Amino acid sequence: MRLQSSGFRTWHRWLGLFVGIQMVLWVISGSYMVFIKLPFIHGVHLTQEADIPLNKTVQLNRLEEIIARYPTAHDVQFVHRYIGGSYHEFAQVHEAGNKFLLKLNDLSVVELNTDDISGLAERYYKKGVPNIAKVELLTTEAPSELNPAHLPIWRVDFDDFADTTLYLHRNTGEMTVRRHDFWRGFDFMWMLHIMDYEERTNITTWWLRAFIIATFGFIFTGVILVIQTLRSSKRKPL
Amino acid sequence: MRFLKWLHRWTSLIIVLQVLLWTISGLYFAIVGNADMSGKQYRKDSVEVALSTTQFNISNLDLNVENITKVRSHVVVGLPQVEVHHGEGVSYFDGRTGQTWHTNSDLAEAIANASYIGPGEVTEITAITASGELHGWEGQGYRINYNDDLNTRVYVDSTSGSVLEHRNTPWLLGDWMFKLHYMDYSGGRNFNHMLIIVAAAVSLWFALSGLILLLNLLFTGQMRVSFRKVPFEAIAGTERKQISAHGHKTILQTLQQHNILVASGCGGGGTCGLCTVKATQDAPITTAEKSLLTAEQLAEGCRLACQHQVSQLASIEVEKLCVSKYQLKLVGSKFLTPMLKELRFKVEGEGIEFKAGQYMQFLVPKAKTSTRPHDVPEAFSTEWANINQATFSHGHVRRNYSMATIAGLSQELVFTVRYQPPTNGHKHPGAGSSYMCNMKVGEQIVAEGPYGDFNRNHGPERTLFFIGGGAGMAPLRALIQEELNEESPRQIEFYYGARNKQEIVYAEEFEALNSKGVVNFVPVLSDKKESCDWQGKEGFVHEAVLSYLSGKDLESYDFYVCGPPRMLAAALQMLEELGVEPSRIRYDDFGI
Repeated sequence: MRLQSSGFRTWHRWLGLFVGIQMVLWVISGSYMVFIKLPFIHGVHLTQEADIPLNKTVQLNRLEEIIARYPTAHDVQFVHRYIGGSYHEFAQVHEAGNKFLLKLNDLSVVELNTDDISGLAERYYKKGVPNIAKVELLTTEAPSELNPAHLPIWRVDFDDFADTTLYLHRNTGEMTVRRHDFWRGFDFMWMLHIMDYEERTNITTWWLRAFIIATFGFIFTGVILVIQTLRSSKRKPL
Repeated sequence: MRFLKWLHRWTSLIIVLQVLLWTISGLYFAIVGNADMSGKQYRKDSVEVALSTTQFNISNLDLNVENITKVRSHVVVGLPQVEVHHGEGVSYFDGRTGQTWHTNSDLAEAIANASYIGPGEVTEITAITASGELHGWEGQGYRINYNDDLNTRVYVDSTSGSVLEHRNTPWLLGDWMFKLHYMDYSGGRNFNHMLIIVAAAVSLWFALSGLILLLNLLFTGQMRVSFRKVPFEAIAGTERKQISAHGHKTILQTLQQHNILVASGCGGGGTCGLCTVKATQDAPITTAEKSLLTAEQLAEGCRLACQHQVSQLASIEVEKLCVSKYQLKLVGSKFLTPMLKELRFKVEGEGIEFKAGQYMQFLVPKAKTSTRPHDVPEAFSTEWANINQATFSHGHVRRNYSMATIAGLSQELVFTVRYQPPTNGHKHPGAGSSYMCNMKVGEQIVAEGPYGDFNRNHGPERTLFFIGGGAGMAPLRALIQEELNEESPRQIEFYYGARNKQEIVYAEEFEALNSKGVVNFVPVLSDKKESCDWQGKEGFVHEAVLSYLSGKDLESYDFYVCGPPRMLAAALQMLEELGVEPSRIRYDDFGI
């Protein structure tokens, strides 16, 4: 039996007031991330492949011509994509920092419009009947859920349970980014978890480090208290 | 709140290690940062080489697959490659020949070099089919080692001619931290598996219960800080002590700061119920007090010192102010039974005022102690035959022993100490009992006390029923002596359990009291020796008591129980099952 009122108890309580609150946030945000499966957060269930198989007759031999016309191209892909209300074969040409589609028959450059994007988005969408609320081309400003490096990009909002948003490439219509409310929730939880309330990317802020170090003190005082209490509870009052 | 505290405490035991691991790995992440754990310190952003620098011969492709969705042409370290996505996956072809792409070790080295911007050079190229550093990857590939400061290795996939990963020593460290943080020791960095889900649920409860407790503290004003000092009065017997203390300090803290000793087991947590004081005015009753103190005590004004701030209670009475440290000198030490010694101490100074049933806490110092006392009598040598002579080191421990006599006889205190032999799993005998049994006459030891309220109940018509075993004899003997000292002692029953006849402590003394008719002393043997001539009762003492009590009027008894833990538990359970009122049962699970 001890005869000291525990100073550790005072410390534990006051540390609890400062780091304990953050610890609760860590646990809540951590639990969210643990309980909800990561592929679901990433929206794997939201989309499917929208391109269909190439025809047997696809003119692969046009590659030479394309290379001749675009000598800086470093990547050319033949695809069968739904554009202009039906499926056509295209060559997707990648140049430094840019990619675009060529119609395979005349090698003319394809410009995508909102109807093309709606058509593609409906085909990417896997959650049932697609119900597109809005299609817009983002050029200068990215919402916080999108890395601005993706700009310009098509944004397609769906009117569904978790407010699905698909981001399609400006020129090629490729599925680029998937977002839904569970992702947005995850992003918020991630922000709480790493304590970077601005960019939500920096995991090395001094205040995060300070809170973690203080947490060691919080754990230490707690462990001492548990040991003290368990030892003392052997003595039952009469 | 009490239940919540209890739950918070037990949850903490379950989860604390993992919380510590989360914190350690979290700190590592926060210090090192993503970039240094990525393994990509020496990785070049992919270099795009124009298709026009090579010659594609794409029409030769052996496209013997169905459902081709994409045909991709690009350059891999100067060589044209065609990637075909189809119904069964992806196939890679050499863009010059149309044959299946093949990566040999030279090409793998070139691919690795093209992705590498570090200062090192290739030291080793190993063909691999799997790697502990590439979770989920299997196939044909190469590991290319570099002799740089980070010990970089680049993994290349043969089938596609692409770089799989860069790995290095910081990555490996980081990977271990991820294993700890995600509780996924497979290397898959999966944080959605069952183990971590359970751990998260437990932690969630743990953190939230802590939060609720904290909010409770805040709202009940227990975390108020006061810089103002308030007057506070502690009354100890005839002595009145005027104290000035910060208003937010608990009474327990304040008393201890001023060297007024109050017992405390849990250090102010409101869980042990030992730090009782008497309030001289009306005082609120906390939930801890409700569950730890009896209604009678509460009505008398008894409160727990840890539960109130000095600003709440300006004046209190301390009952146990007589607790203090005493220097005791050993004046006698003899074996009463094979494993139990009677130790007699002389108190230096004025003596100790204590009640029968109380105990002293001995401060056994750090020492090297012998496993065998020096004075084992010849008669008991068979019991000690298996205990080898050795010495062992032990730290400072505190041990409680009850006084085996009533107060006021002399300045002499008598204790019974049972030698605790090494039991299963323990290499050494009990530190406290060994030290005490090894003490030689004239040696001194410090003890603190007296503690405990294992005292007699009042009530003239009641029979005192003592149930004891082993060294639990000590406080019972004291209580019996105290009762016999009364003008008209009440009736006394004393059932005492021992393994064999030799182990009955103070046998002659109680046999004498028995024949005088003042104590009905009934020894019960549980493990008697075959050679023993024993006419008395056999079995477990609680069973003997049970058969004695059948048909008796339980209302007329007060029960006093003390003995080894198993005997005590069995006896208490037996009494509970008989339906004896808890206030009629007193026990000491400690002073032996």
